[in-house]
Amino acid sequence: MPRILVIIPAYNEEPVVGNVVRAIFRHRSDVDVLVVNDGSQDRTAEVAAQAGARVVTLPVNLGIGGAMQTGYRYAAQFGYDIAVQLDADGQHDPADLDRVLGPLLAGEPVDMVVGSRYVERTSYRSTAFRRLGMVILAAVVRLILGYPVKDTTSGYRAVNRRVIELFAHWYPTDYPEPEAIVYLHRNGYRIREVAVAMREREAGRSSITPFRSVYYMVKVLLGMLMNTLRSGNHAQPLVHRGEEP
Amino acid sequence: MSLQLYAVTIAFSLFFIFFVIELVRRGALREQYSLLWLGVGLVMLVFSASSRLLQWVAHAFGVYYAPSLLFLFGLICAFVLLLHVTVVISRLTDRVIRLTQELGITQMRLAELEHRVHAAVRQPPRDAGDLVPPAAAGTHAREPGVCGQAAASDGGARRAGGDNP
Repeated sequence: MPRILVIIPAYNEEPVVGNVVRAIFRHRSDVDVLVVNDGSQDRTAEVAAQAGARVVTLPVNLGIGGAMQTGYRYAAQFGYDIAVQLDADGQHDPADLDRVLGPLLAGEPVDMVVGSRYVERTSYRSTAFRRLGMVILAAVVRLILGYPVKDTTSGYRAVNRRVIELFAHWYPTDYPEPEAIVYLHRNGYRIREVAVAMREREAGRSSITPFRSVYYMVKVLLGMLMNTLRSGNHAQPLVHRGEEP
Repeated sequence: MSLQLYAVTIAFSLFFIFFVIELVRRGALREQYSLLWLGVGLVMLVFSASSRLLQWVAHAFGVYYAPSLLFLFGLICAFVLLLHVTVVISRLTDRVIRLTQELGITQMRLAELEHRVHAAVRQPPRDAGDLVPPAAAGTHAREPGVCGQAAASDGGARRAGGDNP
């Protein structure tokens, strides 16, 4: 039975993080849940711990990339076989865990599964501005990969042990999802998309305001470009132990 | 160039060099970063000691107004130093992130360990409870044993009676 860790980075998500953790345990009782409390000022850590999650509290705010990598480092240190990342704000439905985990648990030749909003028709809607950004990102990712990934910004993902070790070693900062896809592809890992439902955020605002999203867009594009320029360099220190399920 | 200005520029250059050395001596500036500043100070000293050198270099580069060459050098030095500083900051940022992550994980493991140790200490073994004197010195001496056992046996096992007869 593979050991599965669900990683939830959380910054000031006190109103919702408890429900998310409980919902995960309702749908899958065989997973461990790790909430990475990214220097929150509210009671995120207590609420998450009461719901049954293990909680790592970062003494200062690192941002989404640094917090997520904390989860991967934890998973690497404690020998987890599969790690799932999921947002704390409730837009990722824990009912889809089986779909995201499915290909990895079935031993299919895939290293990362992305829970995508657009693979099939789901009820998810987004603002025009964000959609434009996603379309541009998707186009660039398609250009680099040679095949389409419809939802490059989805933070609902499952990875196997090899990717856990890779991410523990290197993970992009700030707005990491599209860059992580390109990074994995350039290092020869296989990516699969499955359809998941996305819900409206239960509470809180998206951390990405219009002004910052332009900055992130430029930064992500630069990051992906840099990834293509140094392809393979990062893969060298990784030890392939043949632990793939 | 007037003698006073000559003296002032040399004095300033010397002061600058000694100030950098003093910073390193006091540990306020690391040796590796002081090298660049010492280089800047030496260049300043050389050019203020000999205005003819500046003229000669300006002539060699085809610069009409010699002091403008100083501005160019100054600007280039400033840019190189700034680039150097941002490289250093990037490296520091990576390290701070890594350390913060490890600190967070380590603190969690420490808290769990403490929790388990406390749980083990609060539950004295039932059969040996009246044999163990509740003296403060006694608990103090037993702590390492409890600690090791809690870590080894998940904190649930009872302590051996022979520990403290």
